[in-house]
Order: sequence, then C-alpha cells, then structure tokens
Amino acid sequence: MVNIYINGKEVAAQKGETILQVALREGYDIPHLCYHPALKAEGNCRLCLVEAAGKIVTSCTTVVKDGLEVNLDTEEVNRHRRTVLEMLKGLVPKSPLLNELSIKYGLEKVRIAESEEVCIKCGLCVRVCSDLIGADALTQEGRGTETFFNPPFGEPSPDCVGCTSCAFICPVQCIKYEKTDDTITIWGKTMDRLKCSNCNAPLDLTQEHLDLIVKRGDNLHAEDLMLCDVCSRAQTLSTMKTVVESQLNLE
Amino acid sequence: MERLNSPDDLIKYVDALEGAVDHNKPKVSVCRGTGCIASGASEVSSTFKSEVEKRNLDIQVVETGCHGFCERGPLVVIHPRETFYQKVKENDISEIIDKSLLEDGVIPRLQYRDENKTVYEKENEVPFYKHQMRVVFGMNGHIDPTRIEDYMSYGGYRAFANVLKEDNPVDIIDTVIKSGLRGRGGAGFPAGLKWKSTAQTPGDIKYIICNADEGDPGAFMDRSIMEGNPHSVLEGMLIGAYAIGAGVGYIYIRNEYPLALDRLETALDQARDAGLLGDNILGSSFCFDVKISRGGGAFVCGESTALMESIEGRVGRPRVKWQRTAISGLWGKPTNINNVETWANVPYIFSRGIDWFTSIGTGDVSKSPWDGSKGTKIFSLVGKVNNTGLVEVPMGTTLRTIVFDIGGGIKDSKKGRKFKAVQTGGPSGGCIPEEFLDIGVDFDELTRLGSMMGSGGLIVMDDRTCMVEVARYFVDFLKEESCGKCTPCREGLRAMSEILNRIVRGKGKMEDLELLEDLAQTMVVASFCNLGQTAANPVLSTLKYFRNEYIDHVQNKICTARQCTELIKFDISENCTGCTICARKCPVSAISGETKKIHSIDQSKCVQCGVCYDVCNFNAVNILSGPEIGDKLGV
Amino acid sequence: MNIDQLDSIIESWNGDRANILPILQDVQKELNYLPRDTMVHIAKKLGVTLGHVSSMATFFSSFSLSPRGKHIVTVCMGTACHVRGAPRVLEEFERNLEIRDGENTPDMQFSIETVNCVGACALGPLVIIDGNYHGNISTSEVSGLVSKYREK
Repeated sequence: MVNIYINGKEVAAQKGETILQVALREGYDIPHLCYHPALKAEGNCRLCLVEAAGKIVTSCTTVVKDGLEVNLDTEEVNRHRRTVLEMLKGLVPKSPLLNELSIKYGLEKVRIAESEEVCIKCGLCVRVCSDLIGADALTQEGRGTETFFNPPFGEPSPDCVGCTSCAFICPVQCIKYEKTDDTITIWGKTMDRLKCSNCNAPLDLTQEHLDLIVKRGDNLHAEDLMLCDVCSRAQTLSTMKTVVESQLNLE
Repeated sequence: MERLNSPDDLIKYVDALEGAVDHNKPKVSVCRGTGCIASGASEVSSTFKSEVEKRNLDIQVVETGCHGFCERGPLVVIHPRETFYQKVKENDISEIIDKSLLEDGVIPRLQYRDENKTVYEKENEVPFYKHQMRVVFGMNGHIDPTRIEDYMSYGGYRAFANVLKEDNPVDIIDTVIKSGLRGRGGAGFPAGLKWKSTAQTPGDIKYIICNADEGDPGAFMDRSIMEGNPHSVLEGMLIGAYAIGAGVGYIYIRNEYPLALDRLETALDQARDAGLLGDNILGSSFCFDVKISRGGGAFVCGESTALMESIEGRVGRPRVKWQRTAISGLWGKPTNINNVETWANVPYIFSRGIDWFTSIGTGDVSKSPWDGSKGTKIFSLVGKVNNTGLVEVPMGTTLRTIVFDIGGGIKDSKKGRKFKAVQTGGPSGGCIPEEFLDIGVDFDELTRLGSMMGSGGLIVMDDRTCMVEVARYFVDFLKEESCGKCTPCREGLRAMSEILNRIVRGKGKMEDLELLEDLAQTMVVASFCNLGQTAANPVLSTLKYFRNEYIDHVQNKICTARQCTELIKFDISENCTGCTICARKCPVSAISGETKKIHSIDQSKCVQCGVCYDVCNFNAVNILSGPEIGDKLGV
Repeated sequence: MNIDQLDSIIESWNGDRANILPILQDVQKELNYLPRDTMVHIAKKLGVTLGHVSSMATFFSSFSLSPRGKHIVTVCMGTACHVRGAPRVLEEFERNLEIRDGENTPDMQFSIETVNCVGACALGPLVIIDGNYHGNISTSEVSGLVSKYREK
C-alpha cells in the first residue's frame, strides 16, 4: 500500500496502480476515452492529463508512488486538456460525447479545420477484439493521419465472430451494426444468430462466437449460452426451486 | 583469417599487422561511399586496379569508406604525399599513375580550389578538412572496410582485447562515465550511466542494441561510419556487451542503406571467423553475437520503444514504458540502446584514454557526467553551403567555423546570396539565426536555443530559403511519419500542416500564429513519445526567430525569400540579351521572344518552376512578390 | 512466384514471426509489390493474423500493395534535397511522365515514388532510378534521364 495526494487529499492506493485507477475509484472525475478497466492502458487519447509531481502526465499510464502529489485540474492541465479536446473535435466534429466534454471542460470554439471522420482512433475496438474476445478480427492499418481501424484491408474478416464488442466499447459509437431476428451484420459481414434451445427466440450469439468460446476454453458452458435471457432466468429459477424444495424436504 | 584464441593472440596479431604497414609505399585510396559511388567511384577504382595490374606496378589500390567531402566525388588520395584529387573520372587514371605515382608531380586540373581559386594539394590542407578533427572518421580514408585486417592494422580490436584481459565490467563502465561520452543519437544522455543501470539490473539475459535507424533527413554520418569502418561499431558493441553482460546485440538498420547493410554483414562474418563473436570470445568465457534487424521505412522507429517493437516483429509504434528500457526492454529484458556514432566512439576512449577524450569538447565532466559535451561530433553539413559533406569537429566548435571555415560559406555568395539560418537536429530540431553563429555547438547550447543536437544534421539556409516553407516542410514530413498512436502528435500535426499550407499560399490569418503556438505547446507536453514532443520545434523556433516572415506571408502576401510559388511571379527585365536559353529550357513553353530581343513570360502558362531564373546568365529574370507583382505586371 | 519459392523465403528466416518485416521485404524484392494472396499465405505460415500482416504492410512505407512500373523513379525529399529544389524536380518528373507521385504510367514502364532521405545529402537533389543514384539533378535533365531508362 502507498499513499498519494489527490488535490491535496490523502488517498490510499495499491502498488502498481495508475493514477487514473485510483482517482476513478475514489470518485474523482478525469476525462478519458481510450481507457477501459478491462484492458491494458495504452495512453492513446491523451485526455486524462493530470499534474503529478509538478509534471503533466497521462494518468492512465503513470503508476503511483508513495507520497505522489497529484493535481487534477490546474490551469495548465485544463489548458492542454482543452487543446487535446479541440484536436479530437477537429477530427470528429459531430460526436455528442465530444460536445458534452467540450461544454464540461470549457472548450468554446474549434479553431482547427474539421475533418469528415467519425472515429477518434482510440484503438479500443482492436484491443477488445484481440485481448478480450480473442477473435483478432480487427487491426490498425496505415500510420499518421492516415491510420484506420478496421478488419484487414477493410474487407469482411473470416475471423469476425459478430460479438459486437467493438461497437459497444467504442466511446463515440462510430461502429455500426445491424440486427434482424435472424442475422447480425457488422464490418460488412453477415452472420446467423443462434436460436434459444428452449423457445427458439433469437440469441445475441453467433455460431462463430460460440465456437471461439468453446475453442478458448473459457469457463462457460455452451448449453448455458444457448438459452435466451427469459429461458435462462426461468431455468435458474427452476433450479433454485428444486434446490430449495429438496432442502425443505430434507428438513 | 584464423581464429584467435586469446586476447594476447589478438594483440600480437594486431601488433604485427600494424608494424608491417609501410606508410611510405605508394598507395591510392579511392572513396567508395554511397556519395562517391553515385558520382562514378566504382568505375574509377576498377580502372585503377586494372591499370595497376596491366602495368604490373607495386601500387596498392584501397577502396575506402566515405571521406566526407561527398560533393566533390569521386575522391582519390595519393599516398604517401597525400595528394588530394577530386571529381576524378575514369580517363584521368592513366595520367594520375604516370604523373603522381610513378613521378612526384601533381595534376592541377584535378586539384581542389576554393571560391578564390586558391589551390590546395594535400587532403589535410583543404579547408574542408583542415579545421576538422577526425577521430571516429580517422580511418575512413585509409582502410578497406571489407577487410578486418585493415582495421587491425590501425590498431583495431586491441582496445577490446585489453579490456577483456585486464578490466572488470565495473571499471569499464566507470571509464565510460568518466569520459563524459553522451549519446550521439539525439538526447545526449550519458552513455555510461545507461550502461550502468542495465548492468546493475539482475537477469541472465540482457541485450544491447545499436540504433542505426538514422532517419533524420539531412543526416548521414551513421551510414558513413557503417560503410567506412563497420568494425569500429562492432568493437564498441563488444566492449559494451562485455561490460553490461549482454549475450546478444542487435543492429537495427534502416531500409534505405543497402551498402551499409552489406558492409556490416561482411564485418560480422569476419569477426565470427576471427573468434571475436560467438561462443568463448578470444578463448574467454564471454559469449556474444550480433544480429542485424532491418527497418522498413519508418522514421518513428528511431524511437527506442518503437525500434524494439519492430525488432520483435511488430509495427514500429512506441509502447508504454511501464519500466525503463534498462529494466525491461527488448522482449522484456534489460536492454541498452546506443546509436552508431556512440558505439563507434567507445574503442577510442579505451585505446587513447579518458584524459585524451575529456581534453576534447566542452564542460567539466569531473563535476558531473552531464556537465558539457566531450569528444568530437560528426555533423552533416548540407544545404546552401559551398562545401557539403560530413564534418567531424570537437564539441563546442562554433557554427561559424563549421559553416564558413569548413563549409566555405554560402553558395553563390558572389551572386548576393546571404546566410539566413542553420537548421540543426533534423525534423525535431530548430532553426538558428545568424546572431547565434558564434555559439559553440554542443548538446546543451543547442537545446538552450530551442533546437537540439539530434543526430547532427546541419542544414544551411540562405536568404532564398523561406522559413515558413521550411516549417511547412518539416511539419508535413512529420505528419507523414507520425505513427498515428496519440492525439496531439497525429491531430496536432494535421492541424499545423493545414495552417502552414494555407500560410505559404497567402491564405493565412493572424490568429493562425497564436493557434500554431497553442497546438505546439500541447504537443510538447501531451504527446506520447519524443517524436510528437519535439515535432513542434521547427514551428516554434521559426516563429521565435523569423516571425516577420510569417507576418509578411499573412498580412502582405509577400514571401521575402521569393520561394512560395503562389506568392511569386517571374518577370524578365531589360537585362535580357535574348540568348533564348530560358525559352528553350522552360518546361511549359511559357517564354517567348526573338533572338537578341527581350523575352517575355506568359503568366497564364507559367508554373513558377524557376528554371528560367536558374539558367539565366545575365541576371535578367526577376522574382516578384507582393505589391511588386501588381506594379510590374499590372495583375 | 509459386508457393515453394515463397516458403523458401519464409524458411530462410526460420519461419520466425519476429522476422516478418524482412520476409515481406524479400517477397517484395521478388515481386515488386505485395500481392494479397501472398500476405494471406505468409500470415498462415507464420501463425499470425492477417491483420498483423496488413498492419505491417501498410505501416512501413517501403511496401507497395499494388504492382509498380518496370522502372521506379525515387525522388529524395530529404531536407538537403528539399532546400536545393527537390520539389521542382519531382514536379518535372510528374509533368514528363504525366503521372503523380505514387502512380504508374499506363504502360507500366515507370512509377514515381518519394523517399524521406537516403543519406546522400551532399548530392542533392537526388533521384534514384532502378537503384542507380543520380545526384545534383536539375529540372532540365529530367527528360534526358527518362528517355535513357525508357530505352533500356
């Protein structure tokens, strides 16, 4: 355990934690776009700037040290944060989230030329696809301003399992997908939705995704995943009922 | 050559080779660096060889590495007199042999003469060389880089043998710290301190890396060291690996240097055969080998974590440094990275001693390894200067000495061209104006002026170089080379590029200048890696020292340097003699006129390429900018 | 290139995924560019995702994903060449060959590319055609150079 000071207040932290992790846990608000607690921090968006030991750093990639003094909103931090936000708004002018952040952090006007893009290039989609789902269907191509996140060569990928995690994790919701009762379409690839083994209702699961889960040997049972929410709940209830009844019988 | 089985074996072998060199024997050294090869050096050297063979002469022909004066290539030096010949052609060779090798004469036609027509005979009398101190480049003009014996005949590998025999790793590192050697790759971190922290990190597997991803446009000293004296780099790496306890070294070399790659591969094979690489080096328990890793054309790979990503087989995008490279570097193991020139300095520190090394340069390292800059530094002197090429001088040499004494001043100064600025440190560096020409160049002085040493590029700019355009060039360069990972670098450069491209077209606004500064300041503090953190330097330094040029572009639509094509027009004056050369050379046939009569330019066709200005011998082509255009052309 | 030749390149780098960059370079040296099916095969052989190969091939500027002309004109855009007029030389090549930087002539004889410094700065402006260095090039020499290579 170490102690750090956030805006002058002493806060306990675990060794190896980052400033952002500690601050969020303690209820402080630091704007961030490319950080997700389930994924390793990459320090891409640079919005989570704070002042630590007198230096401006990104809080998501700075590990705490005993006695570290952190200031979350000095004038300098706010100024650079606003400029980073301005850069992001120049890149993606029409994002409701960025508009919200602009109001919150006092960015009044975007002075730089606006682009037509919708993606803020935070990279969460690629990381969730490879590090959590294990599908590795997305990649980052190109470099510099010409860098894009998509399946290889922007074409439907054989590795995509239609889990839509990328769309859910995207902070600016720029990854679109379509769902019908029978199919899920994402990144130009259409996959069949599996049906509930009990009531035949469409599931948020594809055969491709199920195969990947089985292959990865995650601690999940295929037969459980094959039930829709309603039937799954009903099954849980009936199991619980059986257990309770049998216990009552025993007594 | 035969495998050497102990340090003493090697020392004996080197002593013998050194003793056998007859410095009075006639010898021709032909520069075969990339520059001279481009000018025809391969043909020159093969003709020398065949001619010597045909006439059955006892003359040694050595194909050496780069001599540095690339602009005058192919270069030939005749020993022992050290007669210096430049721009040598195949059909000069027979005459050179007759007059300068078989007899004691010189051929004036091939000698170097400066702007004032003064002729210089010997290589070290030529002003370009006279003011230099060639240490790392010391052997470049003498040895054949493809022969390990040549390196040894100048004492090569003796320093390593002595170190292996007598010193323990702690003492070696202490020597490097005390020498004050600072990394030549850019930031100038004391090399010894870096070695020490890697050596002190516990672990069985450690790596050293030679950063040969010399990406700064305008800098090519590392290429020349690798091409001209690859064994000096290997010897430095051997000493470092032994001190640090590394078993494998990597040389990460950029894709654009095929010849350097070739020379390094040859050197590695020879060193392995000699028992200088591999298991049980020189019969000791020290095992070390070097692998070569090729780059793929990405400037950012010069950044240490990006470079390691690339060696590991991934995209060269910098990674989060949760721990220092000395603790967790390549494949998560303790790693020490130095660049080519830094490694190449190491053998000399050991062969000539700390006192010698610290006697060169600035500051007092006995106070701190950070105090001053010791040793020599190689600069690549290019741009609008008379003598371009590679220049090695003691740290602390003034810019004036480098640009005017060595470089021979500004090109076309007789036509009125004047010094305006010198750009140092590559795309991450800055532009230094005339008022600072007398500062001594070292790591700290350049940083103080808002520029940096970088890898040592010195690009000289004259009054015809537009500083806004220079900033635009670097920003566009970096925009293309940014890896795209973090917002400030990627989007900051995108925004800056848009603004600067607007300003050079005369479409800028005064608020743009403030915006550029805002973007720059955030890029400095908020970018992920060094590339982004320094990317704004060219903009910041030109805004600081040449703000007037920005204001001229924005408010008056004038490019004072007369370079920005959308702000200039070409016009032919009464000086025109009607020689017709401009009309014949104009690529878009925009010039018309009869022989011996004043020509004129059809402005609707003109593409502002400037060929007419360049070819005119009568100073008759004027470049107009701003209100002059309306006054003279009525448009 | 048939599969065997491709495999032997991969084998020459021990089939090691850390060597993907030189493998792609060697393949491009043979084929002049990186065809899609080759990249798919390399990914499979090295046990990496296609996305990994495509990110490498699009990140490093030495790779081309489409066929290039028989003669490749590479104009150096390094700083030293730039201040000595490289942009004008590039423009002249573009005018002469009637294509832009990064394009091929319709007869696939020429491609124009740019490079950020090859370290021959003292010879700027510098143009490399099919691996041969041509230093101190002026705009008026461009058409001569083009016809010299066209005949070859």
